[in-house]
Amino acid sequence: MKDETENHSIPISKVHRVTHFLTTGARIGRNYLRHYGRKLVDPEAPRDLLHEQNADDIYASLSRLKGSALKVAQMLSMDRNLLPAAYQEKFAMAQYSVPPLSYPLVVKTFRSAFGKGPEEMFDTFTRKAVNAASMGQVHKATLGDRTLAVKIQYPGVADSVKSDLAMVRPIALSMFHLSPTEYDQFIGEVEMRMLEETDYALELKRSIALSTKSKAIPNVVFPQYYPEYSSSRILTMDWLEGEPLGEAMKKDIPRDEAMVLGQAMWDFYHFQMHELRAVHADPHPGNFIRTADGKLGIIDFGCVKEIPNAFHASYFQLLDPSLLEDEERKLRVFAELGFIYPDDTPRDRAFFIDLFTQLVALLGRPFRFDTFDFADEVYFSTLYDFGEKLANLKELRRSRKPRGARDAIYLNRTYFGLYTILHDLKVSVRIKPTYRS
Amino acid sequence: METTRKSTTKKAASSGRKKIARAYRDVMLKTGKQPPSVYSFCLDLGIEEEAFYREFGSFTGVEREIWKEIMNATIRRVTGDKSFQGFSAREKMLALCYTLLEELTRERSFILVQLERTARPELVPPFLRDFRDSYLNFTSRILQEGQETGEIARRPYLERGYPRLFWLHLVSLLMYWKSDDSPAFTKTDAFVEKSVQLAFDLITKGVVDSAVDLARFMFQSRRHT
Repeated sequence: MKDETENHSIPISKVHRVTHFLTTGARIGRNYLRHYGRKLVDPEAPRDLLHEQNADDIYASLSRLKGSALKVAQMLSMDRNLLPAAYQEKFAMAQYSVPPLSYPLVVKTFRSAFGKGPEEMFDTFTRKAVNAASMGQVHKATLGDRTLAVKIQYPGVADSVKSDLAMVRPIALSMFHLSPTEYDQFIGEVEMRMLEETDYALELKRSIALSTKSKAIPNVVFPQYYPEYSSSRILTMDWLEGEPLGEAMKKDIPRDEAMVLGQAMWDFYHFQMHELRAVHADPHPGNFIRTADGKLGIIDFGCVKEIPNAFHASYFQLLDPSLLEDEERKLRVFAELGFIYPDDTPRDRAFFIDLFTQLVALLGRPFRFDTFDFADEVYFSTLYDFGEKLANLKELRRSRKPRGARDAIYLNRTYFGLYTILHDLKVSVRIKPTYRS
Repeated sequence: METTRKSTTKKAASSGRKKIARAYRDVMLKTGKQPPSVYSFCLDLGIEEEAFYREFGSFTGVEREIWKEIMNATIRRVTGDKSFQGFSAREKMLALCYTLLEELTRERSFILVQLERTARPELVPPFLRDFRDSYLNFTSRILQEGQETGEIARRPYLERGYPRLFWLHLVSLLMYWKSDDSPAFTKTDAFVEKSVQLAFDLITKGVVDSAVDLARFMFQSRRHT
């Protein structure tokens, strides 16, 4: 039998993680087999037992993932969204493991979009991909004195996202006691974002809009985008010289430079959240570049979350330090955000109020300072421990209502990613932004 | 016969062939079936029956011509491309398939009508014969070049079956494309990509050859001891 205490070993590579999800899948299948076996003998076999086993297997599996997968999963588990998060990550991994497109297919993609091959459009064009991108690959090209990055999408990606998500549905419904409407609400949000990511025409539009509007922020640079060399499956932009932030962070970035990068990133997100009301919702170190002159280069606007105004008002009250002191206002905001419901039992109500108060106090802590040091190990280990605790709370998993609003899913994820990067950079940032709007 | 006359009649003939092929295609597309007879077909087209039989023996002959032309146009386009000669055998094969798909897509309606009427295209119904021959001719050239550069393994007995395998692959591609409903047939693109990669992984030097090599070695060394 399986050893349940698997917390010490940390799978490092993506390959490991993928096989990990696969073994989890196999184990869930086995649990179902066991369940139906038992049911043959005893028709009254409790389904709860099955759910417990499945959920435990997923959590056991996730707790071995110390990378971004777990953080996202922990963040989303606030409203029992853990499973879809797990699968979402699995999809992402599966996409990474796609073999690169052959050059003839790249040529065909160009021909069907522009009527001519890449070598006729650019002065030079690499036959092999230089990088993998989400759902596609990147080639390097030159035209005149410009160096360009050309992103090409794998064929049929949009369809596979839909069918993958459709596959999860029955499993998710039975495993987490979710009602179909609840599940659809959540998965609808995820599906929408993922489908948007497959639409390069939309990405082009958003990239241009967001990068133009964010120009005022110091130390942040954006590539220029080229609509004339872009289509629904091809996206052409300037090649930003530098190295991906993930790579750069593996080596030691001099402290003053790290501070510049961290502050730039904080300001950039603050600006998007409050001024643009549309957020680059994938703060992953691979989506940032440390340019040669030490600035923060921002690429890949595939995943953008637009924030509705009404939601903005409720959500950001959570980060207002005075909220927790004002009991009445706190309850109102909690109700608006779907943390508590009018028809909750008094016991549930007390439980969730207490839980979310702790959570808000913890996650909102940086906002209570003028300058916050994200290098603070104590803060982060408390945060992760709390996330782990959440993931194991029976009350949360059993609650028949979604806890937390649909619009919050990607914002939570964004803040978590942002906190994590700043933590990895070991910087402190000024919370009040330095840009002038 | 004089040479000059010969060439002019040939020219006239080839334009006549094209005209008949085009008209036949139209009828097939509009009615979904063959014209009732050569007689009525010629009457509608306004040519003598004799003129039809000078070019084709039957309607099947016309269909054969249309299919052959699809393949030949593909091969002309591929070989006319500057970068094609620089490709590896694998890339040549991929380029061939993608170009063929573009050519097929132009004639999609006609092809669908034809394929609907054919239960098992892999058995090479008469109308596909020239299409197949021209495809196999070209692919065997690619394979041969691949063997010369060492990209494709030499397997004395096995490789005789390659043409048949490539034909089956092309048929499966046709059938996949036939029922593909994704926009711009991107799924068929993925199918080509994955299937050709697999085919070439199988015929390039690799596991199979090492296994055969080991087996041969074991067999021989046992005989010697």
